[in-house]
Amino acid sequence: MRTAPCGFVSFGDDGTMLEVNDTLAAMLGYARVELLGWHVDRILPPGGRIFYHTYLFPLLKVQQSVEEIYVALRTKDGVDVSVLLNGVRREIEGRFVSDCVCLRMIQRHEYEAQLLAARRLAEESSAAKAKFLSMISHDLRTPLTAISGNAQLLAAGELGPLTSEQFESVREIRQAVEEQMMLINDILEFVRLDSGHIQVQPRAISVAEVRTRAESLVRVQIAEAGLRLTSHGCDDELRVLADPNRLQQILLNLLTNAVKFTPPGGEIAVACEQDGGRVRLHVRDSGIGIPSEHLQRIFWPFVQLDSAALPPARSGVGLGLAISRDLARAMGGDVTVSSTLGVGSTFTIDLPAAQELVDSR
Amino acid sequence: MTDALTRNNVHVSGSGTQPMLFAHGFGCDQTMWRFVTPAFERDYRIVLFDYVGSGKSDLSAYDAQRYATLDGYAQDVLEICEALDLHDVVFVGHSVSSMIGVLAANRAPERFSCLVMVGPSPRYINDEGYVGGFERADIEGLLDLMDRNFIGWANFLAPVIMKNDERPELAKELNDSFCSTDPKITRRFAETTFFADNRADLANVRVPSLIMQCSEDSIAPAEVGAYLHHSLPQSTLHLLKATGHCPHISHPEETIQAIKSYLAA
Repeated sequence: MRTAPCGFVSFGDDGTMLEVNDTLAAMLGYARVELLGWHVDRILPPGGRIFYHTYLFPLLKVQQSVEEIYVALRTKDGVDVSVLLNGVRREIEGRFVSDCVCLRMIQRHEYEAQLLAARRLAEESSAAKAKFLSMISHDLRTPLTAISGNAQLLAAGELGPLTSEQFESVREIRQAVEEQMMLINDILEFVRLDSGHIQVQPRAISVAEVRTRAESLVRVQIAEAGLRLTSHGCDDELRVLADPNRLQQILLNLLTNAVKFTPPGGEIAVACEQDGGRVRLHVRDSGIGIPSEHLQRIFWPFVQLDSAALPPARSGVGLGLAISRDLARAMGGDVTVSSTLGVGSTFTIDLPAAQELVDSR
Repeated sequence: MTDALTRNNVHVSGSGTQPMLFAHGFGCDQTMWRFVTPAFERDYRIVLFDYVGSGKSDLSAYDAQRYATLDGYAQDVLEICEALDLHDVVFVGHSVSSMIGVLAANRAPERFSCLVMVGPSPRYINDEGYVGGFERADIEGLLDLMDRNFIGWANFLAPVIMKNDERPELAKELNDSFCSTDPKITRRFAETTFFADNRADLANVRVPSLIMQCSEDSIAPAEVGAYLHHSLPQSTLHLLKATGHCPHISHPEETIQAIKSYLAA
């Protein structure tokens, strides 16, 4: 034991070291007798003392054992040595002692230092990205507000009468501004979601009401695209636990996508079903479909599949699905997809059923 | 606002009427008090809770901005008092919770009967003319230790289920997990705690307080206890024989006696 290839220390509940092996003493540059009878604080750096008193000792006392704890020990010369500690607390003749073995970490210490540095860098980079996106979005929105306001004045004839060509030109300006504003709002929304600043307030709501509102907002688009919209199973009594505005946002996004990717003459179907404690809303289209290797990627932020093949008005920054899924997850649900190339895609919003619905079935 | 009782996993027990609100310190949860609270069950209404990020609190209620200072935690304490309509409260706080109690009592002194502080410190970092016990680099060393343990924290801060055939009575409690905390939040709590400076708040305290100073406490040294006694109006300093920083765990009997004697006086 005294020369085993790992350090050993045994201490009482009061922290007094009752046994130390030669390996540990040598690791720390002490003679064994210089440690016996001293408090463990003697071999801990100041931060390590806080760690011992607030974590390690309480865990040993209540849990009776600890495993794989990273601890820094301080040598007699004031150098810190990293060890991995396993400990067991046991009773000997009415007195509790904790026996701990300490394995020196050298390569693993370096490896973990690299991991930590990489994680910090990633966190800093993520924070910087969020700040940048938020700032740039704000800066982009300010001039758009001015463009939109002036275009509105022109269209209303406040700055004099317009010819029909001028009026059409102003209408296009306003439409482009609206699309641009939507993209910027998507970016801002995504930044807020990514940094955990979006709050959802789920409550029991009627799926049919949300569906009706969302459908009314895309009805014109659907008609203009020469598509047909059908609905099945979204009964009035089907209630879901969700934030109504957020659910509408998700549904609207899925419907808008379906319109974008379904050729004229196609069909978009909204179907609802309850499965135990879950409610699912399916948005099925008879569109171009998604290759199976891309099914997960479409939920990644800033991913747009085959955007080059789309006319400019149909492309976006690729945030809609990422936002939709994050919002659904924030409400205890999810958005998933299944698709067959050339046949169409089905997006499913899965959410918890409202409790009264679950109870009544 | 999330219901404070759910958010902070509040548990009420005891057959007395006067409330005793036990606030755990940094690094653990309300189970820290389990060696102490049974002694007060008969005469008091015991209120236990977990700070957001600790134990079985509602992690989704964590707001980095709110909890960036101890004021956010004090606000939680007051919201618990409000939700349970607590008055004449004996607030028992361990370590950082002592200062959280100070902040809460300064905001709503009418709710508190007294503050019992176990191992308190108004500032951990040394300053000119003030001994806190640590340098800034020491606290950064603690944060580094925490970071490194979070890399492989599976057996550490995560809920742990232990099999102990010799002491089966521990099994149930441990099944309920001990010291389960969210690592990211705990790290932020460490920063909030150990970089805090609440010295200026002490003079405003209008309720009496008991300062329980441990012997050889390397986290809150004797100088800190003396400083607090000098700065806190109506304070009583009690030096425990217990060593270390967690007398309620290491020496629960002495801790219980000290609190009982103070409350009886």
